[in-house]
Amino acid sequence: MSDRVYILDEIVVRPGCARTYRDRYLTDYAPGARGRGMHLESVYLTPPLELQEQSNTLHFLWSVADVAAWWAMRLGGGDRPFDPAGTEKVGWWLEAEELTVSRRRSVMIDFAPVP
Amino acid sequence: MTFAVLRSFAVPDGINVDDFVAGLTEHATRLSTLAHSFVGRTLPGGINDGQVIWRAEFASEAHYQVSRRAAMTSMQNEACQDTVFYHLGRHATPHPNLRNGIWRALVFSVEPGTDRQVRAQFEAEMLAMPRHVTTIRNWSLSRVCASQGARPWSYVWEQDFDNLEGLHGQYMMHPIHWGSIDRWYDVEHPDRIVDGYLIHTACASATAQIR
Repeated sequence: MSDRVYILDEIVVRPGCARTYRDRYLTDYAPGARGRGMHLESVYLTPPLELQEQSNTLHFLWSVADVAAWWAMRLGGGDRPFDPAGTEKVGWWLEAEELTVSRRRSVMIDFAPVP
Repeated sequence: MTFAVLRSFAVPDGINVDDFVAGLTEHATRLSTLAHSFVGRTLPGGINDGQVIWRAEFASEAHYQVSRRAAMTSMQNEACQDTVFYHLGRHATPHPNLRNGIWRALVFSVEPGTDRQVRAQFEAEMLAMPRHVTTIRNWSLSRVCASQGARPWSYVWEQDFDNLEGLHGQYMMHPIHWGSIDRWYDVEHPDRIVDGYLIHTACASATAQIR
């Protein structure tokens, strides 16, 4: 079983905002996340077309190498500022609220059966 | 019901930390209704915990009120960063004879207005943690009834461990912690209810502190 830890952001965006949210997430949030050791695995859209009068849900799947990398991402430290309160991360989520109906974050591990 | 007072101290420059500990320990002997006292130097890696912790236990809040008459020195008062007053909450002490271990406390504040059912779920999940993390030897989760300092503190979550490896190892690495409980504390998580400014402290302790 892989040691990788997966983080899934599921964002229900306001009608017509799927592309705007995706682009801003990738421009404004993703660089900081990568700097904290996160690896962007994939970006998905559902329903599978951009809706203008209804909401889409965007799925951003990230991973970190292992549990130690998880805590480094959460708390900082090492060659990054130690930031247990996460002050550097809060800004994006507040800024994105105007485009957001709701969001979930799930922490996952690989559970596929070993062949 | 056991009543506890937990204080953190930032020892002033020029004051020897061991002398400060000795001074607090001597002060504790003058509290006539004190049931148990622990004064410890905080271990490296603490968050917002100063250099010294004093945990005082009384048989009841009324017993504490009697001992309040014996005041700390002005220097000790000025060095005090945060104070929490609490009745010992849900707890378990299957290892009362623990020796030369680690006492650890997390003092934190839940956001005002947090829904009662959400808070109840949070407490239930915290209380379930020791079933998974077996290095937690004794534990207690207490609601704060009054506090002074950087936040209006809500809870004191305390554990006794056999050693630091129990805290830094299984406690931090167990998936129940980082994969489930941590969401209540994670500023990025929509389920977060705990203020990002908290106190995490650990001290070497000759005896179990949760009794």
